[in-house]
Amino acid sequence: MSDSSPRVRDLVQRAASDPGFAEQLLSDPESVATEYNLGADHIDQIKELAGAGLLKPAVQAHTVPVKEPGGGGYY
Amino acid sequence: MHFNSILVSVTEICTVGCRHCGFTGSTRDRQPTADEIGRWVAQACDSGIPEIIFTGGEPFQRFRMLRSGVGAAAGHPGRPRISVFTSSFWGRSAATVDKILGQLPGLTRLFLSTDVYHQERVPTQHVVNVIEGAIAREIPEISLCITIAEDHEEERIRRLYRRFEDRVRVHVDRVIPTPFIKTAHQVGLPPDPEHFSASCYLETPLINPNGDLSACHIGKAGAYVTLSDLAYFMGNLHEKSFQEILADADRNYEYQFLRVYGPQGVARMVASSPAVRGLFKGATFTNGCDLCYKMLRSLDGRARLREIAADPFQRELIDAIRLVRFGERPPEPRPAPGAPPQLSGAPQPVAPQPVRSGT
Repeated sequence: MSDSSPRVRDLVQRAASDPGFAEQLLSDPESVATEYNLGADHIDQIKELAGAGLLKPAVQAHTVPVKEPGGGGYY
Repeated sequence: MHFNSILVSVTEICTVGCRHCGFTGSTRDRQPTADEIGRWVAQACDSGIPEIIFTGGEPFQRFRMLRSGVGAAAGHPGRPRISVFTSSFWGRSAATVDKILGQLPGLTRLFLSTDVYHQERVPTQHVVNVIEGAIAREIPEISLCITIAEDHEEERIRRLYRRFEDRVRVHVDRVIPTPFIKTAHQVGLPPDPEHFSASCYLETPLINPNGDLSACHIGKAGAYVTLSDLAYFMGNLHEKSFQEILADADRNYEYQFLRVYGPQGVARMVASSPAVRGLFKGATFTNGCDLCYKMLRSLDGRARLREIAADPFQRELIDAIRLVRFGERPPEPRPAPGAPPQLSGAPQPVAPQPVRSGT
C-alpha cells in the first residue's frame, strides 16, 4: 500500500479505541481526512457512521426481540 | 461470523390460521425429513451458534421433526440453548402439556405467540396451560410474543397474563402489513436513518424446510415468493454444507452491508439514491424489517445495494466496521487471478456514489 492510499481500516479502528480521536473525527473531519488520505465524501460518510454509534462493538445483540423502533419480529 | 441464534423451520404447515400471519394465502407445505433437521441442526451447532430456535409453521404440528431437531441440539457437545416458537394450540390440558414437554428434554425456552390475532384461534387457557406446564417442567425461560397493529392491543394481552409477570418475558413487535390485514392505523416510520436501528434479526439466520439458509426470518417469505436473487439468500443445505455457505456469505458484500448497518443502513441507502427516494416518496414503514424487505424487493433497491457492494471504498468500510462491531477479520481473497470480485448478483458498471443520508 502506498503512502497516499486511503487508510479506512486504520481510521475506523482508531476511532473505535481512542475517544479523543473519535471526537476529532466529529469536530474536525477535514484534518482527519488529510491524515488518512480520504476525500470529503468518504470522511463525511465515516463521520455520519461515527455519529450514529456504529464505530463501537455491538455489545447487546438481539438474542431476543426487543421493543424499539426499527426492530421487527420473528413470526 | 458471529450469530446469536438460528431459526430452524421444521415445517411450514400450520392450521391455526391467524389472519396476520405472513404465510396467509400461501401453500406453505414444505417440510424436511426428521434426519435432515437433525443434520442441519448439528451443522449449525458445529459452527458455534449458541441458540437453536425451532419455528414453523407450527412446529408442534410436526412433532417428530421437532423432536428430532431438539434431540440433535440437546445431544451436541456445544450445549446450545434450545428454544421453540408455538401458538400453544396443543395446550388443551395440563396433562397434555406435560406429556408433550416431557418428550423434549433439553428445551430451555418457549416463545409463546399470543396476541389479538392468535386469540381469535387459540384460547387463552391453552397458553396458560403451556406456561404452567413449562414452569412445572422447569423450562428456564418463557417468553410471550405479542404482535400488535395498534398500541392498545398490547395492554389487552398483557392483562391476560399478569399473574405470570414475574416468570415470563414479554416481547412486543408491530405486525408487518400483508394484503390480509388492515394496518391503516399503525405507526408509520418514514425511511430516515434516525428511525431505525443498526442491529436487527440478521444475527439470527433461518433454515427453511427446503434447506434454504436465509439471512433472517424474512426468509419465511420464501414460502410464496422467490428470494434466491436477494441478499437474504445465503445458500441451500442440499447443495452445500452449513460451513461452506457461511464461507460464501463471508465474502458477499451485499449481505455484509445488511449485517453491519442493519435497517439504519437501508434507510441510508434510500436517502442516497434518487431512484429509491422517488420510489418510496411519502411511504412509511412499520419497522426495520418492513423497510428492508420492500427495499430489496424493488429493482431500484437491489440495484443500489449492488452498486454499494461493488464500490471498493464501501467494501473496505464494511470490513473495518465488521472488525470493530463483531470482531470479525476481513475474508481472505480467493485465489482467482483476474476474476471479478464475488458478489451475490452481477454488479452494474456504474460510478459509486456516497452512502450518507440527506444527499
